[in-house]
Amino acid sequence: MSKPPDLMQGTLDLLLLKIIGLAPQHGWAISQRLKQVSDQELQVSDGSLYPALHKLELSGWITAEWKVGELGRRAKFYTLTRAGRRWLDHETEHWRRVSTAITRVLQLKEV
Amino acid sequence: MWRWFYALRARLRALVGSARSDRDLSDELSFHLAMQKRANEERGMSSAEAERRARLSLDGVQQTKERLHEQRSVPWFDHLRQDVTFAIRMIFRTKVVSLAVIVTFALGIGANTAIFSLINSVLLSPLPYDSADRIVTVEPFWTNTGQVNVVSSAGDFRDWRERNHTFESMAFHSGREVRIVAKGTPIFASVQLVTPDFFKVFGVQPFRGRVWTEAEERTPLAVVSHSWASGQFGDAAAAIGERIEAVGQAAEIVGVAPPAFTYPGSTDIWMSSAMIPINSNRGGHNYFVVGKLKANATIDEAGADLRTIASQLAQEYPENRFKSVVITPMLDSLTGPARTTLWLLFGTVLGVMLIACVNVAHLQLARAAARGREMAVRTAIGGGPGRLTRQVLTENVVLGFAGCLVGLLFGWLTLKAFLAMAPSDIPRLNEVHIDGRVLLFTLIITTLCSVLFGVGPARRAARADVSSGLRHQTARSTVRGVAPRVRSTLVMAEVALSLVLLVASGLLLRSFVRLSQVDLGFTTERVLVTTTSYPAVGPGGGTQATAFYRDLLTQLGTLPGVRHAAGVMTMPFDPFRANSGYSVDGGPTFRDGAPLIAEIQVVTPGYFATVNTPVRVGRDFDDGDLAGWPQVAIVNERLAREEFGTDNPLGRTIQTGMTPESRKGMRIIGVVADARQRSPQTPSRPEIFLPYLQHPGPGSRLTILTQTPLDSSALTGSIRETARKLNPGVPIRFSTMDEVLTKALAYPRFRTTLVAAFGLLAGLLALIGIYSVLSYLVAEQTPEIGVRLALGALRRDIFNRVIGGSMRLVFGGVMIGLVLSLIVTRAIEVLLFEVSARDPMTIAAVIALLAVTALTASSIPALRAASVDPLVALRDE
Repeated sequence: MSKPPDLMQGTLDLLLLKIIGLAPQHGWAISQRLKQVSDQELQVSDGSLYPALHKLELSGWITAEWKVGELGRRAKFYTLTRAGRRWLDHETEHWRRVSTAITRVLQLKEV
Repeated sequence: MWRWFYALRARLRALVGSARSDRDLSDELSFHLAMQKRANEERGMSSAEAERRARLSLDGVQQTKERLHEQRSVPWFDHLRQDVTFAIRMIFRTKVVSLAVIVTFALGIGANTAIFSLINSVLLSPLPYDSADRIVTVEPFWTNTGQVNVVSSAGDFRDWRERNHTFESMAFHSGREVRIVAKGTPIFASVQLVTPDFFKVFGVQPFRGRVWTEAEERTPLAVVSHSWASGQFGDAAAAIGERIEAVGQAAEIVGVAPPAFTYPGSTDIWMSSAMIPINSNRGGHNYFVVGKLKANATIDEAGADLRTIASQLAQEYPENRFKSVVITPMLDSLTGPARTTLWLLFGTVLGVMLIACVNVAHLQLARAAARGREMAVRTAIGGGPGRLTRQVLTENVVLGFAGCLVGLLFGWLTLKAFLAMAPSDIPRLNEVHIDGRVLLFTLIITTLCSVLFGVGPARRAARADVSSGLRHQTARSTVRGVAPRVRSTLVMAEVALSLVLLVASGLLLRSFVRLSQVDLGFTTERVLVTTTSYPAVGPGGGTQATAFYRDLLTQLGTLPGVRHAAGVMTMPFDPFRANSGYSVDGGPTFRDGAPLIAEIQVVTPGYFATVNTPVRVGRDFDDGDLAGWPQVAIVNERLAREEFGTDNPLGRTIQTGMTPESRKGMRIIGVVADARQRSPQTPSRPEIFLPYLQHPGPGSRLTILTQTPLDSSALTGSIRETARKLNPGVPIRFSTMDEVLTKALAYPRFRTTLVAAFGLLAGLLALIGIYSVLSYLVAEQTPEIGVRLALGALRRDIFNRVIGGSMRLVFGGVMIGLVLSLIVTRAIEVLLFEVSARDPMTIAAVIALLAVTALTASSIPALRAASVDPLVALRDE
C-alpha cells in the first residue's frame, strides 16, 4: 500500500471543521467519515486526529459535549461553534482561490 | 466574541480540572478503540487481532495520550509562572530600586484606597433604607430670590401630601436635642416629632414592638433608637413598655427601631408631631419634608407634580406667591455638603497617584538602562522582544502588586486617621469601610498604573542593541538616544501636576487662614457654654422658664471667676435659626418685591458684653426690660443701615411675626456690630435682638454663656451646683465657644489639611523624581564630563550646565502646570473664602517653592558632576 500524500499544513483543520459542520459527532465517526468521503485517498492517522480536534477545541472553533454514544458508552461529541462556522467559510473561500490558482499554474503548457 | 469564551472555557477546564480532563482523555480514546475494534471484528478479524489493529491505528494509545496532554497544558500559564518566578528573583537582586518602586506605589495606592473608601461609602453606596433610591427630600424654593429653604411650612406640606399623584408616602419631621426624663433622671436626648407616615417613607420594620398608627397620633407613644435603648436599659428589647417624659408628655415606648435606623442624624426618640401644637402658618417654615416616590414614578415626574401643586398654592395664598418646590434624592441632599470636599480629595489623590506612577516609570527606565547588558545577552541567545517585554512588564506588575498590598495597609491606616479627624457632620461616617468595591478599585488602578507606566520602560529594555550591549564592558548605557527626552517629558509632567496640587492646597490654605482671621463680630476666648433645657410646657411654662434663667444668671454673676453671664436663644453657627419678616414704623413688609426678612435672636442683658460684640449706638437690654413694660429691641448695623441709612434708628418702631409680643411693635433702643451668626463664611444678615423677659415663648430655651478670666473648665462645678439648687430637673452640659468655632471650621480644616498633606506628598514625589532623573543623567554622562574636563572645561560650567538643564525642565513643567491649574482651580472656587482662584500671591509662592526645592534637589547631582575625576571617568569608559 503506497503511503498516502501528507496533508498540507492547516488542511486537516479545514476538513475536520467541514465534517463536524455537517453534524455534531464523535472522533471515531469523524475519522470514518474522513476516510469514506475522500475514498481512502486522504488517510489521516487516528493518532493525529485527536490532537487536531483538541487544538480546534482550544481555539474555540469547535466545542465538545459528553453524551452517550454507541455501545452505550460515554463519547465526546464535537460541534461547530458560530465562530468556527465563519472561520470555515472564510477558509473554504481561501482554499478555493488558492487551489484554482495552483491548478491554473499546473495547466500551463510549454510553448 | 463567543469564540474566546469557548476557547477560554476549554483552557480553564484543562487548567482547573486536570484530574477530570485526564479521565476524559482516556475515555475519549478508549471509546475510539472500542468502536474501531468492533468495526475490525465486523470485517472478520479475531478479537485479539481487532484489538491490536485498533491500537495500531491510534499510533500507540499512550503516546497519543501524552501528546494530547501536552497540548492541553497551557503554555502561557507556564510562561507566566516562569516570568513571575524570575521577576521575583530580579526584584530581590535590585533591592533598593525595587523598594523605592514599592514604597512609591504604596503611597499613591494608600492615599487612593483611603479616599475612595470614603467616597464609596458616603457617596456611592445606597442608603441603608428600603428602596432608598425612591426616598426624596422636598424643599420650598423661592422663585424671586432663587433660594432653597431646607424646611417647609406645615400648611404647604398638607397640600403637597393630599394633592400629589406621584408619592407613595410623605412625612415631615422636626426636632432637636431636648430635655427628657428617663428612669427619673433629666437628660438630653435627640427627639424628632414626626407625622404618621414617617416610618413608612423609610420602610422601617421595628426591631422590637411597633410604630404608632395614624389613629394614635395624639397618644403619647414613642419609638426609640436601638443604640439609645440599649444604652439606657441595657438591652434594646427591654425598652418596650418603659415610660419617658418628653415634650411635656409622659410617653410609653412601644417600639425600638432597627440598629441601622437613626434618621435624621442620630435620633434617639421619635414621637408623633401632634404632641405639640403645629405651626400651620404658611409663612413659618419649621418642618423637614421627606417622601417616598411610587415605584413607577420618576423624580422628574414627581417634581413636575409638586410644582403644579405649588403653582396652585401660589394662586391661592399670598404667602406662597413666590414659593415653588424642589425635590432631591435623599442620598444627594444628605451628602451634598460633603460631596465637593470628597471629590476634591479624590482628584488630589489621583494626582498623587499619577506622580507616583511617573516616578515609578523613572525608576523602571533606570533599571532598564542598568540591565542593557543582560537584555543584550538574552536577545543574543534567542529571547524575542515580545518575550523580553513581557518579562519586564511582569516585573512591573509584580512590583505593582507588592506596592498594592503595602498600599492597602497604608490606606487602611490612613482611613482610620481620617475617620478620627473628619468633621462629625460628614454624613454616614459610621458606614465607612473597605469593601469589595474598594478592593476592586485598588486592583484596577494598580493594574492600570503598573501596565500603562511599565509598557514604555519594558519595550525600551527589550529593544537592546545586541552588538553594542555585548561589546561594552560596563553593564549600563546601551539604552540611549530617546530615553533622555522621555525622561524630560516625565519630569515636566511631574512638575506640572505637583504645581497644580500645590496651588490648590495653597489656595485652600490661604482661605483657611483668612477664615480663621475673619472678624466674627464676637469673640470666643474664655467663654464657657452651658446648654440647658428647662421643661417649659403649658400656659405659664415660658414665664417659669424665664424666671429660672433670671435667677440662675443673677446667681452666676456673683460666682467667683465669672466676669459676665448671659443667655442666648440660638448659638452662633447653630443651623436651626429663627427668622421672620419685619416692618419698620408700620411700613411695607416688602422691598423690591422681596419680603423683608431678619434673623431673630432672643438674649438676656449682658449678652453683648459676654461675647464682646460692641454696642455702637444706644444701650444694651437691662433688668428693666420686663414683660408688660414698653417693648424694646436692638438691631444690628446691617439692618440699621438698610432701613435707616444715616438716620438715627433709636426710638423707631420695628415689628416682626416671631412672637405675639413682637407683632405689636418694639422700640429700637440700640444698634450692635454685625456678627457672623450662620457660619464664619457667611456675612451677617439683618438681625433683630429681643429681650428674653419680654418673649417668654422663645425665651424659655436659653444657652448660658459665661465669660471668665480663668480656665473655663474651673467653673463647671459651681455652675452645675447653682443650677441644681434652683431646679434639679434641668439637665446641663458644658462646652466652650472655642469648641463651637472649631466645629464650625471642621469642614474647611479637614479638606485643607488633607489637600495640603497630599499636595506636599505630591511635591515631595516630584522632587524625588527630579533628583533621581538628574542623578541618573549625570551618572550616564560621567564619561562625557570626564572628556570635557580633560579638554579643559571649567568645573563651574559643568555645574551650571546640569543646573541649567534641570531649571529648563522645571520651567517647562511650571508653564504647563500654570495652564492646568487655571482650569482646575475653577472647580474649587466654591470652596475658597475671600481668595481668588487665581490668587497671584499663592501661585507665585508655589512656583518659588518648587523652583527653590528643585534647585536644591538638582544641586547634589550637579555637584557630583562637577567633581568628576576625569581620569576615573575615562578609565571607566
